[in-house]
Amino acid sequence: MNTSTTGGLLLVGQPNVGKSVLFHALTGRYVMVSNYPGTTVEVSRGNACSLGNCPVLDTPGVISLPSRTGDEHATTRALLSEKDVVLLQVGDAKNLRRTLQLTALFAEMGQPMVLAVNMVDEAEARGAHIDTIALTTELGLPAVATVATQGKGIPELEAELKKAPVPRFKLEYPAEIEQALDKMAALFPADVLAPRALGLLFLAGDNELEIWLAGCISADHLGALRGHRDLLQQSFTEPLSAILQQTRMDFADRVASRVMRTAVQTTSGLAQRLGFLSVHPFWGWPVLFAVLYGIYWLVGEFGAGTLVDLLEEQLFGELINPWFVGVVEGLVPWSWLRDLLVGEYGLWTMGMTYALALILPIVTTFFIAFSILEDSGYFARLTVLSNRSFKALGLNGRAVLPMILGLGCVTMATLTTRILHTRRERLLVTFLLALAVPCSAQLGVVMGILAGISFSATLIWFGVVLLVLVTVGWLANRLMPGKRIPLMTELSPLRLPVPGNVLLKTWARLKWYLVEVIPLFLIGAFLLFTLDRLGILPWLVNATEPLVTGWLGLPKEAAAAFLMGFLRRDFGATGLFAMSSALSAQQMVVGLVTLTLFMPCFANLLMIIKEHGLLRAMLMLAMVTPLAFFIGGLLHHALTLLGWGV
Amino acid sequence: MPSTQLLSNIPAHSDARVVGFAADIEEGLRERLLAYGLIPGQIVRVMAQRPLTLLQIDYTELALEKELAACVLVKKQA
Repeated sequence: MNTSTTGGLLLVGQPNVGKSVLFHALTGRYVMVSNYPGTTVEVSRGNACSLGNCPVLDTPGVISLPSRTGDEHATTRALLSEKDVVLLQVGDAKNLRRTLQLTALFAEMGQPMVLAVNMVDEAEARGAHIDTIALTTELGLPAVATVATQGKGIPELEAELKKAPVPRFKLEYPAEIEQALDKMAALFPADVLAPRALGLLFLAGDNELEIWLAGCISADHLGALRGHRDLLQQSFTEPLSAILQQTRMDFADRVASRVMRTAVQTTSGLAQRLGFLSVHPFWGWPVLFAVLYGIYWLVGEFGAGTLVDLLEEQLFGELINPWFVGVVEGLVPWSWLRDLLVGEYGLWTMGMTYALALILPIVTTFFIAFSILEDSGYFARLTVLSNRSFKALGLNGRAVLPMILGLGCVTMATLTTRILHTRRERLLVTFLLALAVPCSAQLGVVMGILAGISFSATLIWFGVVLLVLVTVGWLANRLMPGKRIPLMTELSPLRLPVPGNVLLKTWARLKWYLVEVIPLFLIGAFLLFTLDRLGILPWLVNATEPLVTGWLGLPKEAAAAFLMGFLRRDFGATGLFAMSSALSAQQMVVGLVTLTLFMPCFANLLMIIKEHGLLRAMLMLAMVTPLAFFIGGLLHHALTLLGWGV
Repeated sequence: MPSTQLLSNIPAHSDARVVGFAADIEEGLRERLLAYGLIPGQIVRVMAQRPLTLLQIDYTELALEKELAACVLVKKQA
């Protein structure tokens, strides 16, 4: 083949096999890479310089085809809509048979194809050796051994991709199926995938394919296809999909036994033992608390304590701000502009100082901690430990992934709910995310503030938010029709994170913060300034006094913080931080709990509308915000009764 | 000849060979079990039964809830 004449390269394969790492290696474009299934939920695009600048598409992993979840459907759609592509299947060397089951399907699609047998280092460490030369012969398509994270095998892979042929591969299915495939072939559109591959997917009952077919062939043809399928089903007692899968499994077994040599593994490594402890019904909990304390120390103590002190008080407070205020006052004759820039709600004194001196060090340390955990593979293990807790919420442990991702960015996490199996699960998780999961920026600020009060303050905040999450989740589960899906998931191995990837990922997230969050912050500061000037802010502060002071027990000026919270919850929290000298420990905890539960940020609101529609989004909003104030007030009265932090 | 049992009843730290699925298993579920490598003939190692059924299949680890493990029929290996 010649890459310049094709539609590009399509990366496909099972979840968590390293497609995104290869994508990065080929294109130089960074996409989020982590050690758990479901990091990629949408197709990403880039260009490979070493392959004549041909486009490269990274797809979400599919456990098997036909696709069953929203992210898997995206892969099926990419296979159907991207014309003249070269397929690059990425497979896990540790699980060659599963890889080959998919290969048997991809190789009949009529597209040039190469197989990357990835993570051969981990397979070797476990005593499995794969002979890729024999595999190439068996499959009739090039198979290349790679270790994508270390760049091993990438040049060989690129060389094969440049000359990739359409595989001479044909798996023989039972005779009745072969006859049906022949009859059906003429009914499919001829310009996409090979009709035989479409037939195989259609017989297995791929919904996404049927939707797509309904849009491009006549209803008569579609009806005829369904007729063939129903007729064929009558020749078998087992479902067609099971028979097709069995044929491919037999094939995979046969090939794997010929190309793989295994040695008996003698001892289990430290990573394996630690991995086992982390899902142990008893030891799993100490491990979890150790991890949480580690994050608290890095983000709360070091980031929010040491670094913020250094930046906010010393660098900004003593050096930059006095100098900048001096410059502005010397140069700007108009008092309103001076106020806009360096006044109480000034763009520089409030907006940039908050964003750079307060939030930036906190989110940076949080992003580092988060990236290390992501790459270690611990999150997938947490699915097992947390499964029982999620059961009460009508969810399974799989939901822990979007929830934890929400601690990074709730908006992205809302998108990640696509990995869940039912619409019901998606709605439940989206709602809980909007209500009670603080995103990194907010969590950072909150932890920073709480660490400055006391550890018990942190515990109260955490306990209340968790209690709300569980209670509301439990109620929502009761009220919402539908049933829960039991958990089944692959556990990625624990690994030592690669420092390069941790830094890259931290940087990618920081860039998001700098580009998307800081401008919003400035808009927020500008809005507050304008409202203050127009006399609306003082009026609002007085109007909300019964709620803010009467019910929550906060000084009435805290209304400005809640106003900022409408834009992003972390801005609100930062607003509270700025008034910390005027607040008691109790007031701070009450304010932070209220803000944590407060409405989702604007970007997340848009995402909820996009994924679930305006009506559902508004319903969620109408439930979340009053609930936040209600809980905040309850907490205030409870803590006052107990005499805590008055 | 060992008797056929449910995967959920196999004690931790022992091996078992998959022989089939419960008669009333949902088709979608069977497909997923197969896709994850629980294939008749396959020998799996049961690592734990609590909090979930943890299996090692070839070189990968799989976690599944009891009620799913109870849909898989196995024979315990000596």
